[in-house]
Amino acid sequence: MTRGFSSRRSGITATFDKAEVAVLRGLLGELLELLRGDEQKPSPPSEPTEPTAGSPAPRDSEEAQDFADDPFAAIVRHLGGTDDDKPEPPSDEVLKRLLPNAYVDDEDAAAEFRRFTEQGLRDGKVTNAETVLGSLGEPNRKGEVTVTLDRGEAEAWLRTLTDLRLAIGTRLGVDQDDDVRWAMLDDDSYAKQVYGVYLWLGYVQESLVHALF
Amino acid sequence: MDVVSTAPVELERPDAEEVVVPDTPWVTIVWNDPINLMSYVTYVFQTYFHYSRQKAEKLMMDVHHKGKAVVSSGTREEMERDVEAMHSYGLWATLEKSGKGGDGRTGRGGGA
Repeated sequence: MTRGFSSRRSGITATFDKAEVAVLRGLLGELLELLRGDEQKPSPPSEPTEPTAGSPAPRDSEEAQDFADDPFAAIVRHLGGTDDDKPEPPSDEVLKRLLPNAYVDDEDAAAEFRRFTEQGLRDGKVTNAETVLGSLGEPNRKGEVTVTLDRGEAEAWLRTLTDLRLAIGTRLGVDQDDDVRWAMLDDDSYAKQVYGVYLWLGYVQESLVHALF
Repeated sequence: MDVVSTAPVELERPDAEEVVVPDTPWVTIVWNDPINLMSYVTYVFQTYFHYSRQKAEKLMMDVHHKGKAVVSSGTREEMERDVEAMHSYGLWATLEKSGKGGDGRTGRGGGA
């Protein structure tokens, strides 16, 4: 398992093992699909539903399919909530958290704000996720990938790790100080495994914040 | 006055709608959420607002313990920029008039 990020002369670096890389790629693919595809009705996962410059989505989804036999990747593939069979609400719940209201008591002002800012926010999150994907280079013989980030890439990682945690945390219904509830779940349960991914993302993000401070 | 003039009478006191009410400062509020790391929230306050580590940590603790905290104040446009920035960092923020609910005048007939 990764030791997380540390600050070196060459940049902010971390090494991820094969399984971690697979999880990251899968999650990033789901996040990109969610951010790009929510406005249109369910479409095949391999096609981006909105035109974006240089979109790598087909390749990433293909890779997700490649891991079809890997149970972990199978779990990851269900996280986006954009399955054809599923109604929109799960996606909306996550998108609502990623793109929240700016006004508590004023629906009109909130709608106006959203009209002006939502696309830009989405685009920014897409760009960050693509930067993270792009920074995952070639694996070594053991399937490990070492990333070395400059400040800009590190910021993209920070923001994307947040978006991933928000997406998973919202889907899981994570609450403050609910460790006991999760500890009591059966280790084999789907939810607990996904929660493990959520904790792992938090560990990686914590290490990145400390490497940047 | 017996004579009725058809010309409009000029009042010394200006029409109520022309009175300029000085802009009530707006504030940006960051709300607690169970997902974001405390270290990350502190990082955001330091990086975006250029607050000292001490101030950033204090604000983060206020968010954490009190459920929310005012992190900046200014014009409405400035606060919308701050809120948008907070959202881009994954924090949940909203803006409102400071002292909201006190004067009862929204000036635009707005309000839910």
